[in-house]
Amino acid sequence: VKSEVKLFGWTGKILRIDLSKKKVSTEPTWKYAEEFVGSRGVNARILYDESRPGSDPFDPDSRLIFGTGPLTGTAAPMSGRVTVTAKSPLTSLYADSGIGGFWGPELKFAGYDNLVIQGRSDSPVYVWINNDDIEIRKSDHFWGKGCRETEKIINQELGDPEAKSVTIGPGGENLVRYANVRTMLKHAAGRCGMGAVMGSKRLKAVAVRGTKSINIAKPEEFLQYVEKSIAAIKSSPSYEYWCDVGGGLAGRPTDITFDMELAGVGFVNGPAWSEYKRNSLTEFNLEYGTAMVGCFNCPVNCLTHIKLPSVGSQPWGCAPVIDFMGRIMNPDPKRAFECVVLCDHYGIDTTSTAVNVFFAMDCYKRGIITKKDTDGLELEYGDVDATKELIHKIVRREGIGDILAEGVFRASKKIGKNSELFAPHVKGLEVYGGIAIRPLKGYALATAIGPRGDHTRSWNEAETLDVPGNFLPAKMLKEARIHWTRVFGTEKACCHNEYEGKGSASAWQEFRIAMLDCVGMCKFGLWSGSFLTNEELYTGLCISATGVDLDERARYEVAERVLNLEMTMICLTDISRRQLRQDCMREG
Amino acid sequence: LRKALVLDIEKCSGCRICEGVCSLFHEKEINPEKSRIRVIRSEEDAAFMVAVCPQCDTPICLEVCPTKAVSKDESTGVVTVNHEACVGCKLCVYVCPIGGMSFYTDMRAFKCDLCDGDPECVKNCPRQAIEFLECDKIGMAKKRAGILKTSNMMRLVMEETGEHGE
Repeated sequence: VKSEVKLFGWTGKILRIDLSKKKVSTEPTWKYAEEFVGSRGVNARILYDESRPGSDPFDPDSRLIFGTGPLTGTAAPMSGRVTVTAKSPLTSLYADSGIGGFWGPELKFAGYDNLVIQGRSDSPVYVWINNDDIEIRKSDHFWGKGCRETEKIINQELGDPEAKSVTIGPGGENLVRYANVRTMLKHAAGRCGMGAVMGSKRLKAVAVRGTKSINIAKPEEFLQYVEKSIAAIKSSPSYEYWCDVGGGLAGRPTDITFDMELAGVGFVNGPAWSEYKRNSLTEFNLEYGTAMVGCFNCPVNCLTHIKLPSVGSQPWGCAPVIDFMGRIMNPDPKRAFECVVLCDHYGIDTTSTAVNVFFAMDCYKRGIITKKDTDGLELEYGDVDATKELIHKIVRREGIGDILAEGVFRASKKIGKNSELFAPHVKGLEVYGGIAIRPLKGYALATAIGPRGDHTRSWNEAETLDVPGNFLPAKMLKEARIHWTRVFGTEKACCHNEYEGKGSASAWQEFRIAMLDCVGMCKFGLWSGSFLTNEELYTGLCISATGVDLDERARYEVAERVLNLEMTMICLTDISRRQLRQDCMREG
Repeated sequence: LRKALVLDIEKCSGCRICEGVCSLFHEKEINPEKSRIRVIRSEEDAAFMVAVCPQCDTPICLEVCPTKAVSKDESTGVVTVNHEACVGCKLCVYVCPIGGMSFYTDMRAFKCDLCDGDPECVKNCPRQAIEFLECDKIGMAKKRAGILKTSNMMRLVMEETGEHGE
């Protein structure tokens, strides 16, 4: 059996922890990895094997799976990724959410590729993985603490400042359906409510410290490919643009999406927004940004670390900015940062939170709910104080917060009175406001067909090439257009309001993203068009690290297998094709 | 010719690529614990520091070694541990004030050897936070960088207050 053979890239073991029986066991990775490689693929297979269609995400027997890929933790650039997979409490479907940071590599150094959590503890616990020693420890004394605080308490309690943890905050503990799993200051498996699943298991955190090695099949060759990949990323014309303070994700690119009238504003995606002051985000980042920070082995560093006195010191990225500016219609980045700090402390997804807050504001404005329903809160558009109060209520599940903690899909059903019309969600997942759904046809398609209701699985950014304000230098714009036209067979694939070519663009992207997710690399490199689209380098990294023939063709087959399995899981539940389509069309 | 690693902690983003390539180059596997260079991250301050042996002129590790396993090459300045002679007492690890000496059970004491004159960390650092310079030129390089930075700042201040131009 191959599982006895020495593996390269993979550590070879899956760790399984049953919180009901307090039992710890391991099994070989290879029985899944041969077909599904790792991370998103292996997670999906485990979930498929071990869950019943239609089962409740909060059922004690439900699975919460953390998965790294064969490249996670290696010297390959952008290799800090972990996929968290479970049945989503929001969509009730198969869902996965990616998380960066430094936890995934640490899990590999401890000797595990995947971590499967099952069962439910009677009392709050956390798991301590110290290489081969696994301990299930009490967490009563810090149950209720914020995410980052929890991490610090754990480091202190274990006496190991190098231990890395994934944690949940009060949001996850109180089963807010969009609670997230977090690590460090600004890395989160944000979407689909993975934190709520973790909270339902009464698992506060998973702390890991590993000191073992990851074997590499051809070390010299691999090192050469690493060097070449970093050079390729750095030679991209947009590299400097992304890495400089004021840029990153939270700065200039986000300003541009507002300028381009693409960012979500209020309920509708993409209108002009008169209150927004041009370049206000770039200026804010330049004033309060102290450094660009990123994940394990990432040359890009897409997050801007903000030090705002008396509010907080932590990084932020594009989604939280747009959520608490455009979505709730607050034009002040300073005040948006306050909301982001609060959400991150509580461990709830900023995108879903902002949509729920705005949904309440919208219902209030339209008279669907009144002061009586909001416990006296006046929910005017853009009111940050009311937003913060609402966030507290959501996390504590007080009054209207208890309804909003269920997510807009369920909340609108409960509130009724046609409020469903103002609840922006796809498959139950709140719509991401970073880029508009209406003007970008490919984006709309990607949002509709993804296994979870957002664009992150198959959106190809080629269609933004003709949007006025695209930040790529003119020469690159031209090159990109020629490249994508050749790949997708029509120039219309590069036009935002055309329908033609969008199918093939989405399919192309869906496969590439699945491949990256399975090996454990960040898809951001693919997205930004120019960071690392070189298939030869990817192939080189994969083969020299693992010794397995993961060439482009093989990776394509794996991606197809994974995508089919994910769709199988979704079709096995009672959601219909028609419903999937309707959800998407109703938005905006 | 003596050269040394020169660190610029303002440029370091704490990504830890240097650790990966270091252990890959020396040990043919990936393990930060076996890397000669380590990144110490301070999350809340977004401050990242690099700990690596600076190849001291009078190495304390060399002085305390009971088996004379540590030696210094006078021409390159590199301080090395002879693994045959090392008994794993870890005295060198304890006495080094900046953590330049590392220890791993199956390797005993080990440290940076500047990759025979072409350090991998320097080659692969995406931010050029580590440079490899001739020892006698480091002082001037730092002075120039420092002065440039202050003069840039002064220029910006002057532009802002309108003392120049207009």
